[in-house]
Amino acid sequence: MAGRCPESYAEATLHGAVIRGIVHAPAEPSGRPPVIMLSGWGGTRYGPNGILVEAARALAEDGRAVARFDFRGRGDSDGAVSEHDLACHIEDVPAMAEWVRHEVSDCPPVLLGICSGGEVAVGALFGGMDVESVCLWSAPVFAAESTAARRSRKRLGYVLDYGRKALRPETWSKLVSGQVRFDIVRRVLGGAGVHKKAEDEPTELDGAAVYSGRCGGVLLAYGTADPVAREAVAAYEGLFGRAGCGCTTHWVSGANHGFYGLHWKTEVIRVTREWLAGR
Amino acid sequence: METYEYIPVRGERMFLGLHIPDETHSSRLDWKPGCVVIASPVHEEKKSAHRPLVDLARALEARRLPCVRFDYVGTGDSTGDPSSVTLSGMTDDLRAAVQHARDATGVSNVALVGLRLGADVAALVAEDDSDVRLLALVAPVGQGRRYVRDMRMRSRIRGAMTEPVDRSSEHGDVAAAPSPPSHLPREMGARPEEGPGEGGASGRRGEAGRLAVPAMTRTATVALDYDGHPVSPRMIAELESHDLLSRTASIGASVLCLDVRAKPQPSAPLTALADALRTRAASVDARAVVDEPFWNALGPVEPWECIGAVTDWLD
Amino acid sequence: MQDTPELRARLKELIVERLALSMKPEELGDADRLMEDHGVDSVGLFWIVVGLDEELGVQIGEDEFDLDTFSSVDKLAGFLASRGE
Repeated sequence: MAGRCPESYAEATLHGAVIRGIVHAPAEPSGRPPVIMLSGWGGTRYGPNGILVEAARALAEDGRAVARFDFRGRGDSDGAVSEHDLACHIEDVPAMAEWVRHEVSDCPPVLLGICSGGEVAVGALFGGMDVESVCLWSAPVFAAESTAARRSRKRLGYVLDYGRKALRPETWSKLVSGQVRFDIVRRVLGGAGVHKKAEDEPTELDGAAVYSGRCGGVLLAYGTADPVAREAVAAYEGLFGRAGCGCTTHWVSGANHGFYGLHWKTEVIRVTREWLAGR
Repeated sequence: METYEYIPVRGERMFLGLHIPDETHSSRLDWKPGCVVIASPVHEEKKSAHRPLVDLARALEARRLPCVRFDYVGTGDSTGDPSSVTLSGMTDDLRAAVQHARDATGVSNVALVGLRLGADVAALVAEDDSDVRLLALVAPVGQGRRYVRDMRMRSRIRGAMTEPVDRSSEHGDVAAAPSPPSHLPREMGARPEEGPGEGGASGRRGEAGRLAVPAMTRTATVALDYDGHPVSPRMIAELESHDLLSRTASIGASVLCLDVRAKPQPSAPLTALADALRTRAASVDARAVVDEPFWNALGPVEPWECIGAVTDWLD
Repeated sequence: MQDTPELRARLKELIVERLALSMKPEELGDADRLMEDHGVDSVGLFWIVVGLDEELGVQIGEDEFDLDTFSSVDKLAGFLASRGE
């Protein structure tokens, strides 16, 4: 997609660090809420196989402004890679939103997250951010009920490895001393072995209890060949259901975790455009 | 100072990052570069290598070496059709980035640092530009047919790890969200029903179970769906005919051929390339660093061994 | 190429090194399921294919690739031996 709408470089700041990104102006301003795109764990603001760039250009043609920022420690943004984890990424979202509110539109935005970017979107939402809606593409979740696969050595290793990477030791010390919103982090990452559960802790995310923001609806888009899909969809449908937030689920047949195929990428973008257009 | 901008290239807007130190290296000899231009890989290698190349640019800036990074037209944040990316187009884009670096810094001597296919592009540009004084080729491809073969293999592997299409949810109607397939998502290691077909991961299985390529992924502009990156017939043809080992044009630059692998010795392909370049370059240094091949990493990486080796060689 | 203890040892070394597995090559079991037990994904399988080419001189054709072949050292060694190279 060549991109016929104006695109410009943008900078937000947080704690003195520059968060860098691109803003897509709409072909014709429609008054529709802007979209903030949140990339995956190891990725950049253009997403796997450039999916976020293509989606941003398509949504701009639909009349929406779209902002794609790199999290701190990722892409072109400031901050060391190893010093920024999911908790930091969740912190970045309000800064991105503030920039969008100031420079683009003061409507509550749509958060669109791919892979762990989806978890970040959920974290920001449950941290009290007002959004028009949320789109989660292939977002995993670690608070889901255990399955036989998760008990396997591979799955446990993956979860622990993810936990180690997602939360560095410094963050753990902050968690213990109460400097980090542990409730948000825990609800994003769940209790899958990354911390010791107290006897009275809930066994699943308590959406109704922790949800404090406003959200008009949620789109879940997953590939049927994504190993985390079934578990994640069940968890998020349950979570948003308990929070009283309407949820629509779309399965992309045969698609893998990153929608690494032209027609899968086309489908997930099309479905998202249609869902947003219908709101 | 780190700034970002767009410049017009081939009718599109090419996105660049400039890392210009407040003070340039004051003790630089005439033959050393005034500016470094980094040529990135393409396809998913670009995404995985993006942050390490940013870290490299920042490390160079810290050494008071100006540095420019850019997204080829049709990639990253540059505008342009992704299916229009070709080796010749990438070469033109690097030349444009080099010219912009010269205009921005006021110096003509440059060093080129290329990673993977970006290394090959850097070598091609260096053949025609006598003011390219240093040329760092990091994990170069060398022979394009090898890259094409690897692309097809990677697509084949991804396709093999993708479950068959469930016809009942083929069109994914948003209004009536389909139930997920009754069978579990494919567990790793499950046996595919049939052999491969072109199109790799994007292929769908037909009635006979064979991996068939949907018409939309085989068009005049798409010869291969490389994990969601459309690769044109022209790109395939240019890659198939590209071979750094057989080229004879002289290169005035000193060359570093750097392997990034699990062993401290350069691989046989890199050694062969270095040997071929010695017949036409001012000097060739072939080395290896023990570090992760970060251009294939799925998560965030910090390949400081590689970054340090390149930075030290350039400085 | 014959399926010998030496070949299997080379394969284990290649797999552990290329995939940066946290184990010694000799700790990788012949029958271990590379994908299920050791988390080898599509990128890892690709690196094994590249390693076979670069270190053993064995080029796997696109048509030859099969998940079952790469599911364990047992299967891979048997496949290489059956190619008669």
